[in-house]
Amino acid sequence: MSDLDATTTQAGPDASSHDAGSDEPRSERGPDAEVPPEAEAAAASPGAPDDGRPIRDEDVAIRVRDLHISYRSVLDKRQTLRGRINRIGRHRDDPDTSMVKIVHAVRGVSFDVSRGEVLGIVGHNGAGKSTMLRGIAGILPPDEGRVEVAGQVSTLLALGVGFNNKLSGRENILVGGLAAGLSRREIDERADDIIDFSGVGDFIDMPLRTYSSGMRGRLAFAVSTAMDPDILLIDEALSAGDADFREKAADRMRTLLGEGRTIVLVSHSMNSVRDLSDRVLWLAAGRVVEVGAPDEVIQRYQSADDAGRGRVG
Amino acid sequence: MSSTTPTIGGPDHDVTVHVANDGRLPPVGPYVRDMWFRRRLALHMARSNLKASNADTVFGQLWHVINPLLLGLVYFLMITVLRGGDSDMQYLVHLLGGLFLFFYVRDAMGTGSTSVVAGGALLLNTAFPRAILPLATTMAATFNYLPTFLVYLAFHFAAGYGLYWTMLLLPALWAVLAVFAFGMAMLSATATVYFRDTSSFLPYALRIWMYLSPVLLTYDEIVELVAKVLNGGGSVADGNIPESTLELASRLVYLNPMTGFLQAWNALTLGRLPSFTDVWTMVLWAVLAVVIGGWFFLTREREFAFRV
Repeated sequence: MSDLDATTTQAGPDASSHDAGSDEPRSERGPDAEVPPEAEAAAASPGAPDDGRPIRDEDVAIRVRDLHISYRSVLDKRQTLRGRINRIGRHRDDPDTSMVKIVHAVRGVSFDVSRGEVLGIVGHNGAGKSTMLRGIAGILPPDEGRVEVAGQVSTLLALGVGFNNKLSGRENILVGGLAAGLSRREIDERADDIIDFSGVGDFIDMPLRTYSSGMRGRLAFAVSTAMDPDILLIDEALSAGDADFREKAADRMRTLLGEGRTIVLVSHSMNSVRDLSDRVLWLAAGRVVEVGAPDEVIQRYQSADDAGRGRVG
Repeated sequence: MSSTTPTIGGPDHDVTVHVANDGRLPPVGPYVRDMWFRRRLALHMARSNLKASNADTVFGQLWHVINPLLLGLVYFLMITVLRGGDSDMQYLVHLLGGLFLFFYVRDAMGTGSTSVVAGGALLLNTAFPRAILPLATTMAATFNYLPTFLVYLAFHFAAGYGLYWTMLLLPALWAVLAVFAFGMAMLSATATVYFRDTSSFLPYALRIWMYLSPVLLTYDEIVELVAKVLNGGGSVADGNIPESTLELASRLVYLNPMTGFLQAWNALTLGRLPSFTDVWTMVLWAVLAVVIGGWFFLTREREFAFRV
């Protein structure tokens, strides 16, 4: 099925702006058809063999092809029946009527992540990093394109694991674990570890609303890294807590790396990204600017930043 | 159409493929399997819901029993006054049974309506079958209503009714009712995602629904009411409503999904077997509620994360 011919080695900013038809079965493509996503993917997975490929790429953990995600940003967040009735009769173009703005957050992104690889993602606020991560996790559906994920995915996203403020930390560990698909026994086995690692101490049996934001972040980090996932998606979690905890978190990350886990890491901390990632993907305005070695990509990202050209697109 | 055949992953890893949401129903088989796999999540969420609403304390639990009981007494007084003192203990038992049944559905729909929008961060951060959320609130409503049955029984015996073998079938009735309630909860949960004030309008709609159900009035009174409307007047006592109109009215009342449930409840608690019509209409309504509610919910649930 796969025909990753590594002919293109540099994925430029426009490598992702190809036609939207890449989600059709690959076998239907002619041999000389333009296949930028595959080409880009080849560039994005340096370890990909040149020939003798199996039907399925067993060493690929995440495959993203021409992913588009847009969402309706509802300006009036709480849509009501009353509001809808009140607007009846108003013209559609009336600015009061069009409360919905389509945000095209991810615009044709393609890349592969190999098993055991750590992919860092850098980009400005609003570049589509978090949306893309949620797309990979299957939380937000693509508009176009496809995401393939091999194995159990655990998400550690900016808002926490999905904590409920009314419940205690311990109960939240249980709900988060069950939602992530763990069994009760698996969670019980890990609970002490999680509590210990998070360092929230006696607060664990207090409602979550009594927690400081640092405690929440630490607990979230402890929960999602304890899920024993094949693939871990992390959004800005390393910034949780104080310097001690950040060091501990980085250690935990390295342990997870040693266990051959696939990690996608979104962070604004260039140091964490440089230290932990095998490759870095630079995202701007929903498009891939560059994928490559951490040092080079981060350097170019930062100099583009300095030059005020950070937002491409 | 996007192929969902994976192009990656070895034999030891399940591959999940996410493609564009075309507004179609996700494959129901895997969805239900996934829900079954996470049944403990639903159970635990139900328990947390109860805890959050203090229903796990003695007084919190007591409130769930006392509330319908007090309302039952209010309605009993109201109807007694309206009828000029013509009520008895047996009517009170009918009223309480009907209220308990109806309030169960009401609570399942009410708590279900906010289940998804209250999911908030969990929805944004974890991928799981979203129908777990209304399922959990329906389960919580079910736990809440178990003790009310004991209160009902107290009045049942006080009115001079006995224990009948047909009461052994009540759990089956409640199971069908729970399926119906779950379907309605999925419907109200979906509506609330799109219109946040659904839960404000819901109580009025539910109250009208209750007045149209054989709860305050008896089944015969409701049938007569419908027949009068069809006939443009008259009364059964005077014999000036044609038999055929009464016949038609007695069928029309089953368009109200609660009629079958309430009639079956009355029959079983009074030592009779429910009529065939009661049984098939309540099963049909339960199936319809789950199919329609499930269709609305499942075809839209991938959008929920965008909207909460």
